[in-house]
Amino acid sequence: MSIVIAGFGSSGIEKRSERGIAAFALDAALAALADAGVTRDDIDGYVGAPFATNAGSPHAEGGDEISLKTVSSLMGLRLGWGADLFRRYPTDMVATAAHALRAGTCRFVLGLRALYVAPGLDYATAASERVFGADQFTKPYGYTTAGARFAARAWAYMAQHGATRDDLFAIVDLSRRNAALNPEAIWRDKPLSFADYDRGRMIAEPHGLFDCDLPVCGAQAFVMCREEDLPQGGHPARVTGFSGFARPEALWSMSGRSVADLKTAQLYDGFSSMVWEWLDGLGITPPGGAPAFLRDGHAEPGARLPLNTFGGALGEGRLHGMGHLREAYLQASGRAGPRQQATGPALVQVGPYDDSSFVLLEPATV
Amino acid sequence: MKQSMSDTSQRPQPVATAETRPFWDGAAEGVLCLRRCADCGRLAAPLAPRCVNCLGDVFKVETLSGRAQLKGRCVVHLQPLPGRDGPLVIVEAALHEDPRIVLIALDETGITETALPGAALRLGFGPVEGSHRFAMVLPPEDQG
Ligand SMILES: [Zn+2]
Repeated sequence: MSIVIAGFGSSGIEKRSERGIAAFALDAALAALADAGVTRDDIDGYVGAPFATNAGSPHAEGGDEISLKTVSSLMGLRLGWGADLFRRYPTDMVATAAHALRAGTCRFVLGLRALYVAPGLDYATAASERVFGADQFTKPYGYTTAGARFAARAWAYMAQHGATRDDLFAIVDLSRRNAALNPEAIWRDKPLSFADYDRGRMIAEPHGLFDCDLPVCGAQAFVMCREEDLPQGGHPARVTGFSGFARPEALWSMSGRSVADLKTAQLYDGFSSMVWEWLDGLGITPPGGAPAFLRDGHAEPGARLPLNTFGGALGEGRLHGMGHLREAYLQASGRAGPRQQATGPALVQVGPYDDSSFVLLEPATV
Repeated sequence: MKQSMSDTSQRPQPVATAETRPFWDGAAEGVLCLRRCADCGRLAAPLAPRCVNCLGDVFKVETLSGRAQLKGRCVVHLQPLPGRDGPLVIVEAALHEDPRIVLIALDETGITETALPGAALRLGFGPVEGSHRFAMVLPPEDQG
């Protein structure tokens, strides 16, 4: 039994908005339904991942987060099954939807993730009176803000492997150039020279302003079904593998593919240095080899393994991995337009070094 | 944005549980205390309810040396922490007794400025802020 993503939709992406998060969520959901060729009444399953990731987030339902309950109520969905995944990623949403479809629980699953920048809040603050749980060992040191832990890891990587800010810039530069071909991207018309990059203020060394993705208001959504249920006019890409980061080999055993089969890779880049993590971690490059891989042009469009071909989160804006999933889908289904690379297995990874998951998408042979 | 009902003008104050209380009790005395598994001898991270190795739940509290290796380091230029001006130097310190346990600390004396990954550090605790003492990289004269 093959499971497919049948269509994908995106809202517009804005830095700030008068409209609320639900407006973005419904724009994306309706676009996904139209793209998949299904109607609202066909949807009987749902998977979301509503968590707002900013340190200072109020976690307000319908404010900067939107859950199944609100989406289904506002859209008038009649769900047989649905779930929101706590602090999980779009890649986990795909795996969860695939399980429900394989089990026969539902026919058409809507997957949705929305992000929102609530006005008037300082997102980069650790200020709080009391701290609980894991926060007690991190927040009193400011470690939960500004991507401090990713910066600390980047510092160690750069020291160990001789990488420099030029190598970080190579990632940002690739993202901006790729974003130029993505109509949704927040930075689509904003090329960045090294001088511009270097003038960006420091956020958490070694990361400067342009090494950080931009928080945005936006949502993206997909529809998944069994391949035999694909609606007329749907646009399928097969889900051929998924796995958690602790067992990446499961991605290859499930799909019967290997690293050598990959045609494109969308690797999570909330901070620029994060793309090194799984280039090395999946054995695409030898340990410490990721910066050279980029420097030598192997990640460029048309090269050995085109990377973040939609501009990544650094170019598109912080959709927390939905943009990566959408691009993998567009590449696998041959619908990436001017960004289209060789069609074939399209890898997407979402999450940090110590908690990621992977999905492999491939062209459907219908 | 300040919350009107709470005091956010100082460093966040830990709310300990049974698992983390030995750490903070030790911190109050200026020493680094963790729990060691009574069954297999593995050192436990402060939050762990059971030994990650054997899943036993009998621990003995142990005072550690404070020796550590620099695992990661960053300089945060935002101002996330009340009561601190200027860039914050945050370090990840892998403990000498078990480098799989990594604690976060501030370097407020610049001793790690030119350090490389793996550099030897000593961790200690700063003065009381609010009602707690927080981990810090000891200044050069205390690095012993
Ligand atoms: Zn044990």
